[in-house]
Amino acid sequence: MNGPTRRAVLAAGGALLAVGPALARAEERLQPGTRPWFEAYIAAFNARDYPGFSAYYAPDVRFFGQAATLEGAAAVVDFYRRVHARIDETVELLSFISGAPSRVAAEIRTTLVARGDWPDFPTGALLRGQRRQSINFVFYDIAAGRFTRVRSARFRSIANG
Amino acid sequence: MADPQDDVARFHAYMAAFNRHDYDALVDYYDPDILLVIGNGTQLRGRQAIVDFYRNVNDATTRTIEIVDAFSDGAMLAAELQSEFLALRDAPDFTSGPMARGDRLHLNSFAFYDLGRDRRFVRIRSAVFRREWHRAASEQPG
Repeated sequence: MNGPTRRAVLAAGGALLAVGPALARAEERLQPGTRPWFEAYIAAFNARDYPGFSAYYAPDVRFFGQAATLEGAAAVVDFYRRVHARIDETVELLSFISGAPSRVAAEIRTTLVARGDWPDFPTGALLRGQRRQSINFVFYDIAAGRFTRVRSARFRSIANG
Repeated sequence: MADPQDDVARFHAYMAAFNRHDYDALVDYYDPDILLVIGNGTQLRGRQAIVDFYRNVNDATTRTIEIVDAFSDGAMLAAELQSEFLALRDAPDFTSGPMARGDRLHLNSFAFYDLGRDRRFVRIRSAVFRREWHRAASEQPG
């Protein structure tokens, strides 16, 4: 039986070395509580990828946001679908602290731009075209790779920011 | 990079010093140019300004802080804190609102501590998650 030549073994080793860092990055992306994992959540949120970002929520997640207190992944997604029908919302990750695998903390800047008047918006009336920013400190509890509790504390409001 | 567990242990020691009002010990945890930003927008720069602020707060109230959770990634430390303020006398100018003697304020807050290369705090920022008042007047037997 012909075994692999020395040249083939060396070539295969070189290929593995080249692929290694990419594999490591891909694996880190999948590790709950890491920054790449969390950044993928933020990207999915900003892309209105509801299946993508809701996959981060445990079915019975408890969500204490600035505009609503909710229970259950479906309730959170329903809430955001309603909000995003009337407001352009983007979130930006300013700071991230990993306490993987059980919790993370994030400093998040939220920008809201109203597409129409929303006089009874929970955090204050919005007029069409009005832009509002806030910076919030958010703590996430994680179990089995999903958020079980999300709590947001307002650090700063920036009216018309 | 320093061991994040060391940061957490150091943080517990810092809070113990805070709770016993050991201001001389507190100063050693602060970078000389430290910036403190608390939820109501108050900003304080420098060790002495912060210590003076806490001395003033503790003149009218006693504040006890419990660390609910703390974790560090080596560059920043995140903490969930449970604080109780007890008014020792009437404090109409208290930062979170007027307090009468015996009133208690419970704050659950999230705080971020930026760590310098020497592990001292360079910046401290906190935001209140939950605020609960217990008024002495309303708790007296009728």
